[in-house]
Amino acid sequence: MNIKKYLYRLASFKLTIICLTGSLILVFLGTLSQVTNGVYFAVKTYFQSFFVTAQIGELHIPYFPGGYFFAILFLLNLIGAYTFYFKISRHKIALFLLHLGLVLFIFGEAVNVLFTDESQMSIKVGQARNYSEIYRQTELVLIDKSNPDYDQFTNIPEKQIREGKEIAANSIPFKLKIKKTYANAKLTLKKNSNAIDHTASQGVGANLFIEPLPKTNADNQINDFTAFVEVIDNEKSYGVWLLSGAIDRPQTINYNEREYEFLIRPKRIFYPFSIELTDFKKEIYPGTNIPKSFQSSVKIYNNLGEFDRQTEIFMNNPLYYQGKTFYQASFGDNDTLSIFQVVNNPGWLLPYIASGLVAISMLLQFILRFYSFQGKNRS
Amino acid sequence: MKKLIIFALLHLTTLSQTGFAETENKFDLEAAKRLPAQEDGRIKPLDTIARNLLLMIHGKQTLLYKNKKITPIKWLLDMTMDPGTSKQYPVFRIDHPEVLSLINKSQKDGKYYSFKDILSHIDRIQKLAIAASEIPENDLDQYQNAVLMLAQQIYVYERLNNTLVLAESQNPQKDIEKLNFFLQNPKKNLKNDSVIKELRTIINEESMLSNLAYFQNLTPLENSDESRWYNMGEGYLLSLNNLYMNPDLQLYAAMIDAYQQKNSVSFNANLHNLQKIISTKHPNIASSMSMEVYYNKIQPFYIAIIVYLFSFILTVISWIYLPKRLYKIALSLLIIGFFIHTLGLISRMIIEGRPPVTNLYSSAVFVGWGSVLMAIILEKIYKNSFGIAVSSIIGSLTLIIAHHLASKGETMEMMRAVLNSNFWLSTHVVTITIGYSATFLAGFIGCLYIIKQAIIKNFDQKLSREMGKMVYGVISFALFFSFVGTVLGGVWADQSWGRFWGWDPKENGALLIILWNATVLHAAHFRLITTRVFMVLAVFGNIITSFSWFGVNMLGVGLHSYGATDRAFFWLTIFILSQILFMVLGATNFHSNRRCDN
Repeated sequence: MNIKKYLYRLASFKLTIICLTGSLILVFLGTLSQVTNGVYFAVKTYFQSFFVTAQIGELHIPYFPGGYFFAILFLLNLIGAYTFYFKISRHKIALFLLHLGLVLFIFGEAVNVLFTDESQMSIKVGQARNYSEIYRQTELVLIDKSNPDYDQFTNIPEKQIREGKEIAANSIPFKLKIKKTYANAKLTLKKNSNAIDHTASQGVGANLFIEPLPKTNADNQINDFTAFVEVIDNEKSYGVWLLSGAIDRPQTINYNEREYEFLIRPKRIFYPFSIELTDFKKEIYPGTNIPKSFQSSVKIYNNLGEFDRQTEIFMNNPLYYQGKTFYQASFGDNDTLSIFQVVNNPGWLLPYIASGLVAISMLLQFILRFYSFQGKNRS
Repeated sequence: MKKLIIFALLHLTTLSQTGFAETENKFDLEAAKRLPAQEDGRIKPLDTIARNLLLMIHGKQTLLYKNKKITPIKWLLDMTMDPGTSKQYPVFRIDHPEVLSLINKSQKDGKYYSFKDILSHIDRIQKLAIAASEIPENDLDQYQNAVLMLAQQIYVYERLNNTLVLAESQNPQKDIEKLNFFLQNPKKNLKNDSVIKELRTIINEESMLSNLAYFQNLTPLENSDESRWYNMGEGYLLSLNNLYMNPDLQLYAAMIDAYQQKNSVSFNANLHNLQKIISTKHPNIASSMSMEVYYNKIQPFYIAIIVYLFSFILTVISWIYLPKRLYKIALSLLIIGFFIHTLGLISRMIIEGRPPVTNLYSSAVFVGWGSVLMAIILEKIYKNSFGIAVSSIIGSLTLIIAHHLASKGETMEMMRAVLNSNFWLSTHVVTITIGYSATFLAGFIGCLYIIKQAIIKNFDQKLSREMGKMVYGVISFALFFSFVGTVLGGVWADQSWGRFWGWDPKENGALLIILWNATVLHAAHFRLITTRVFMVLAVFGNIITSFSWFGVNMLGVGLHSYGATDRAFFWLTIFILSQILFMVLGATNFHSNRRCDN
């Protein structure tokens, strides 16, 4: 049976060596590409993909297996090896546990990729925040300001803002028709050779030209998602607005004598609690510019606005609260702004368990080998 | 007999470094070396500042002027206390012909020039440097790099000249007298116009001095070790502010005056008074200054290089002539070298108050130390002299690398915020560095094997198998430590940045080492390769480890890009090429194949 032959090949040691060598080459290539393209780009292209592709014109041509490919190949090879070749005997238990740990690592990274949210929370001293922002994703937010007591928000994620689509919601009396979108664009007052002639008829965009830019995956740059949005109802069009990540002020729509505002902003994650930054301290080594430590003092309030606790967040000492972790990432504005990295990784424990398993099994295995080696030496 | 030789060697090398206590024209320079000052956040003896700065500007720690040797402390005292005299010293090293032409000199005039030589051209040099600093670092050519470096050195030089006194002549004693006069009755003196006028001049001068000073030499008024020290200029201004004159300020001013007048008696008297005050107020500082000056003098790593090299040469000779005798001497030398290496490492740890690896320099010192220790253990087990050969080569090479990494001067910098954790520095960093040591050890044994099998016609199968076992054991060790070290790094990253693994270049480098060691072990374990091929693969481990250790820092990307050097890229390439040569040599089959026996 041909299938059996291939299954044996899949489980062979030669394939293990090919896998190991192949992933080594992959990591090396990915690392080199980080020099010109940044870490984020390399991760997306080399490690969190099935194939590494080169872009020629509009085509993406795969030329090397990617991280997911090797991960799956490793898993199959390992399972195959234990099915066809290895026996899990008392003597080989350490090796088995070691490989099990490796499987856990792969599994942990899968959970990380699928379920982790990473966002940032920037708070100025004296301010409080109950949301964090994901800078690589945007959302279109429509605010109904007609009621004097409260504002009603409707959030439309970037994924749904597609050209030609008409967006309707129960909370808004009109429809938003998406005329054109750009993954990244620059807005200018003057028309230059790259600018698009298509200007808006309402709002800030009426005086602006846009210059489409290629989507960037560089580490320190974000994409300004831009769209031309037309407000329509069953009877007529109320005009075309220019919305963009580059325009951070909301723009006004007057519909049936009610006021609405809308804008495109980084996607927000809201929390059932808020964090107030009461103080930020940066300590430098005396007589130098080298930072010794930076520390934020925060107060946490629950969703009813009641005070919960006060704590410090600083380097190597994050805040764990309600399943999320807040790390001191950086700061700004003359030490009055503190920026936290907010991470919510449900699989955070997996790498710890995996490492412990692999390390202990490896140690066990080497100690056993060392003793048998000593035995052979004496005889 | 051999013990006597070793003993004599040790003393000779130590003696040459210690020399005799320094006194020049009866000035107690030895005591001056131990004076503490705060520079770049750390409290260090003037001796260290002098050596680092001289190394940075001059490229060497001794200066030759009119065929006389000028020691670092003498140079520093001349520069700070009597700036006029130091103008003549040929301290700037200029090699590049175009830069030489900037100061109207050419290569036949030599490579060392004094401040006086370049004084009239400084404006032009600075203008060129400003233009060059606008250009991105990777696009600079050699000339622009040389100009930038010279401008930087001039900048440091001029600041050093204006640290204790203003270079354009200042009489500190007179200033002290005027200030003391004022402080006797401040209220009355404030109404005296001539006093006010004099005060204004003093204030202007001292403000300028306080802004230019390169280090802070006056102890803070509080007794804490963490506070900021003051420089001379600030000291004068503070005495007006607090209506109280700090005794060290007065003593320093008196010392400077005595130095300028070439009065060694007065200089020494004030110096000893100052030392007494410091040892009473800050006894910890006084003793650590002595220790650091002693460490500077001994230069343990320099001695270790020499001892290791001797050990290597004797081992190689022992393979041809007098095997038993020379083996014993070589082994003793190795152990002595290791002992000195260890002393140096421990001294650094005590002086810095940190675990052994804190920057690229100390990682080089530690990688060597780890490899030598492991090789000594191997030698005890196998007794085939390969341990000695490999450890002495790795020991000397890594210390030479460290020596070149120290060319920027200070090797004991302060740790920036994210690294400021002794726990993680002693666990993650040390473990990973041990992983490097082990992989290098395996790689160098591989090199040795390859040379042997190329030269020796009938390479003893038993020896070949033994070396195979050695390398297999060392790579297993390397895999374990690399893995644990990388995992600890992941835990640290999880605690600091919120993610266990970020595919950062340094993390990828560590992963490459793990992957490679795992690949080689699997290939050997499943008998897919011969011992010879196994050794060639072990040598490749050297390439991967040096890429991971140095190469990724040079990429300049990601959260780990601290510790990059430029000239190092050239030497990294040379090293990698040399290893490729070994691999090619090993791959060329001189004799018959045999399956790897393990």
